[in-house]
Amino acid sequence: MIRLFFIVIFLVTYDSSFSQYHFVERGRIIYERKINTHAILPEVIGESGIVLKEDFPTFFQKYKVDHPQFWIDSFQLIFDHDSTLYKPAGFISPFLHGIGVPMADKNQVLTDLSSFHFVAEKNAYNEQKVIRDTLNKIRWKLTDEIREIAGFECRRANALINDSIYIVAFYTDAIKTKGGPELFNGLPGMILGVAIPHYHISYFATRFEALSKTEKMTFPNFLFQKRKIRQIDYFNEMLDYLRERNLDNPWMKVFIRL
Amino acid sequence: MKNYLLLLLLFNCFNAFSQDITIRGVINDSALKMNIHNASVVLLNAKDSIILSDLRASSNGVFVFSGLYNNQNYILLISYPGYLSLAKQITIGQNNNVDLGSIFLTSKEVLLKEVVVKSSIRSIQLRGDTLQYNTSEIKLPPNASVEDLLKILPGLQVDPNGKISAQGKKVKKVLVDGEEFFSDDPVFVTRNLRSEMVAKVQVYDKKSDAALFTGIDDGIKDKVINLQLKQDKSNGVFGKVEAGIGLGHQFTPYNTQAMLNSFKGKRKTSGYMASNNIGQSGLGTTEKNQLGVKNDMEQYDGKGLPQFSMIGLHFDNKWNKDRNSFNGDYYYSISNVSGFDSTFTNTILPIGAIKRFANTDFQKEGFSHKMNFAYKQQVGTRGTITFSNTASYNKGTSSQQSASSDLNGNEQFLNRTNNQTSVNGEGRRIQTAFLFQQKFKQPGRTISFSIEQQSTSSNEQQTNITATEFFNGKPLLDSTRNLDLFKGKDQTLQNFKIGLSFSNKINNAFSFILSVNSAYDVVNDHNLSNRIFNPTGAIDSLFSTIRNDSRKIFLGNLSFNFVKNKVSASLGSGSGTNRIFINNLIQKKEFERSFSVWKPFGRVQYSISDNTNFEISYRGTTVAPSFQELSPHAFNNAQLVTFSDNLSINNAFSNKVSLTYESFRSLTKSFTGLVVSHTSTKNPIKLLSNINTSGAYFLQYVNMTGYSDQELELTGFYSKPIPSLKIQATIDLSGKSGKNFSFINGSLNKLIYNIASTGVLLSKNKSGKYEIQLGGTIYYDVNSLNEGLKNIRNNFVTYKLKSAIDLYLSSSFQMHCDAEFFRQGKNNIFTDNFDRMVWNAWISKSLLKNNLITVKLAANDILNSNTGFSRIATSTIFSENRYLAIRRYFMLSAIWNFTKYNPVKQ
Repeated sequence: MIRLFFIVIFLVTYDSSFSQYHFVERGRIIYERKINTHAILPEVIGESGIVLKEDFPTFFQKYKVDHPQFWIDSFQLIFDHDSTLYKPAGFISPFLHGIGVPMADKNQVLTDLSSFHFVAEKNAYNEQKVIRDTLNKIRWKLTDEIREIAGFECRRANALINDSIYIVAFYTDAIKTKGGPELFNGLPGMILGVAIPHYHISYFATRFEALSKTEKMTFPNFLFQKRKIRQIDYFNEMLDYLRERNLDNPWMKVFIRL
Repeated sequence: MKNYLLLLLLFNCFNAFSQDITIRGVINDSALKMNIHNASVVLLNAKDSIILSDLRASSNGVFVFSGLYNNQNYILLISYPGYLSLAKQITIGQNNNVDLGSIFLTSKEVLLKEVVVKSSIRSIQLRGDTLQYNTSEIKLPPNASVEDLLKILPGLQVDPNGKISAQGKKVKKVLVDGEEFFSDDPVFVTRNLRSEMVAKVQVYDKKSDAALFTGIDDGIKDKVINLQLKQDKSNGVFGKVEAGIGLGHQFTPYNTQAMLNSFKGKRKTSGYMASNNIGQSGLGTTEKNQLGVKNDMEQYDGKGLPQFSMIGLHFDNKWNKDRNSFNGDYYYSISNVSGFDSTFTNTILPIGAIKRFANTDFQKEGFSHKMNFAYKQQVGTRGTITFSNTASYNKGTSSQQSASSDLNGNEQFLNRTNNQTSVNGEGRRIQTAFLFQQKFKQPGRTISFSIEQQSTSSNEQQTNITATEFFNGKPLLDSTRNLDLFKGKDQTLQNFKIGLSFSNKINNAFSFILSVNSAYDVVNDHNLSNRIFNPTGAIDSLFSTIRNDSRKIFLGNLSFNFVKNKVSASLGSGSGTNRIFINNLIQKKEFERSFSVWKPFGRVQYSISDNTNFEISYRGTTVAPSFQELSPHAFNNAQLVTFSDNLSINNAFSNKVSLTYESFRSLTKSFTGLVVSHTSTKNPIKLLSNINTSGAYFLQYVNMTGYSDQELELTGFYSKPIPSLKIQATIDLSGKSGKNFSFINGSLNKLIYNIASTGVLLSKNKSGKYEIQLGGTIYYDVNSLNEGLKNIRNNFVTYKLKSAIDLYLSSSFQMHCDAEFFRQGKNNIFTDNFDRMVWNAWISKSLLKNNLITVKLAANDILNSNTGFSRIATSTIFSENRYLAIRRYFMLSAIWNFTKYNPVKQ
């Protein structure tokens, strides 16, 4: 009788298809964003008047001595089979230290990959904005390069976003969700690394943990905000702010889009 | 209406770029042949690798891309964690849905295993009959010789004298890049060349030259090693000079050696010189198995204290795009040995046992010149001519003084003998061979022709003084007899051989070989004995022989060969006549007799797999009586030995059936070899003995009609690495069991013997760090003699335990230690065990860059226990021999190794 029981159990659970690799349906990925301050500061501060032009050399020299080269910040991406929630993990480095530029900073982004929409909450100069828009369709070009990130084997793909910005992304087919940090998406798996070489910004996954299926994805409350603007509107608003402060340099323009 | 039609037409035009093409396929695991669920399948534009679409394979491995355009080129990239990604080019033709069917992905684990296995397989491969070791990556300490390299290859063993065996069989020749190199002795190659020069070591069975020529497999196979040299290490000058001197109780030991080699492309020139008194003739102990007259004066068998000096030269070259080649050696050696031995022999006879005690002192000295060369030239596109020559000359003297007594079973004296013998000898030999081989355009069709001529002449003068006192079992002296002979032996041998062979293919699987061979031998013996102290000058005809014997052999051979898939077989026979002429010029008698010759054979070989072969073969051959069996030389008679003729001896016939199984498993790197053979000789030709009460022997060769000597022989070899301990373990066993018949004093003697031995060898090496070998062998000998009602058994057990350790304490400091424990057990006749433990050790330190100079301190037989000893048991004789051998000595040597490789011109 026991034997029959086990046979039945076996037959029921026997999977005739091959499934050696266990795909994680839900998990959390920690990304590390690095911005090379030494490369960007001259451009960012440039016309802003924060530092007088004649003081540039001394300022930068002092800056390089007093401050680390990279702004390193951690973000977490919680993913489900068709949605991702992206938000900071911990304390974000004070942007433009002590310069006095309260910068627009990302709070949270909830991406729905099945409907191809996202909702993001952003702080812009102490003003909360909620953006809802469609994701951008990115034309990815696949390459042969393979790299290991956070223990996963990732393949490289290149793309041009906004018609001019060259990005390099590494994705893994071991995670089925087609998402990634920020608003990057559309590769045949999870993007574990993204770099914008010309703008000295990179996001690379450092940790991965699986989450149990029973854990519910907490829906951020900004979803229920009534007034949601579109990405383009947000961008134009931000651009006005930057222009006022003479911070509307190319780097900033890219940064606020992320 | 018209508009409507126009619209329809226009609509149809768009079908040229229809958008309803699908690509589908099923993803499977290549090893397990199961579907891969969730494999990532990405559709790319072939032109620019832009991702067009992607999806995951369903639970049954199926994927479908639809809505695709025709006349497009796509790339499909399929991946899954842990598997190798696969990219497939897809061209969609006109309106064709693409069904790729099953697509197989290979697991990385499987691939890794294959890679690991393949890379270690690559180091040992079995291709047909050849076992190839890839040794280019093996790093040994500088100045390591080829012998040091062979020692660490699994399946090969090298004994302390440098003798190599492969899978249990002795290696007869070591070739260099396919060419002979000091063909006399493999040790010249293995101790002269450096291990770093060798890229590949190939071990294979080489058929005898006769088999290669006639195409008839005569079953003779020699194990041969071929060293393929590395391109960049086979050009240059290298060599070594060694000198050592020491302290010993018996003598002052010294050893000098020098080797110089110059290799340039296909031209190799080498020379060596050696002189020592520690028992090394050549670079090791040579086995002069091939060339020259057997010069007893020169061979050192471990008895006595020897002195050797020798010079050897070698030259070989190939030119004219390898169409011409020349290979030649020259040797000169001079030696002397002196010593003593004492023997106890127990002979079991119907009349009772005879025990003999003998003590002998001996001295030998001699010198020899030897030369051999072979010239080969290609004729046309498919023909070859080979011309070869061997010549040797030797001269020596030996003398011995011995005293012996014979006693009967009751310990009573039968006789006492004193003997003094001295011999002067000289020998010459020259052999010339010419061989022409031609292949025809048609595959499988060949013809070959050979002529061979050999002349040997030897003469020997012997003075033999024997004084015998006969007691015949009584306490008082019965009689005395003196025999003083001056014996002069003059023998010339002329041999002429001619042969023609033709082979052809019948169809794809079958071929045949037809050959005819003829040989003509003439032997002239002019062996005279004169009484020394009887100055009449007339020869003593009782002890003299003047003979002119000749033999004409004519043999035709036909064999059929079959090769298909994994099976190869051959069947055939040789048959012919053997005509013997004996002309006894002292007795003025002539004798002529014809014997038939019949040599059937058959062989089937089955290749069970790439690395495993199984063969069963049968070989039958007539054994015709020799000149000496039909009519023994009276010259060989002695005081107590008298031979008689028997001109009516008939052929004996011997049948041999053997089974061979050889296997090499690449994954586990294990070697297995098993050979079982059964030989039976019908109506064997044996020596019949009649011994009288005084102990005198009367001998004659006869056929044992109606009886068959039988022997069953088994040898097994199994060698395998034990990965966890990194030890190579080898087990070998051998056994012989047989029945032998003979007549003694009119009654039949049946000897049943069983010899079995089994040995284990464990070896562990780490290149440049250590080499350890530990082994033991047990031999068990059972002889039982059935003779009428009396059953006599003579069993004994022999144990041998051997160990050898080499430690490299640094790249320039090496220690070596070897010990052998030997015990021969007691039995009915020998009432004591014989134990011996020989322990040798040396340390060496190298100085200067690349270990240019090495200083070595050696101790030989530290326990001073190497007393010469051997025990033998044959049909009716059991004997024990003790002799003078080289015992303990210490030696300090300096060795200078020099190497200068020249870059290879591309």
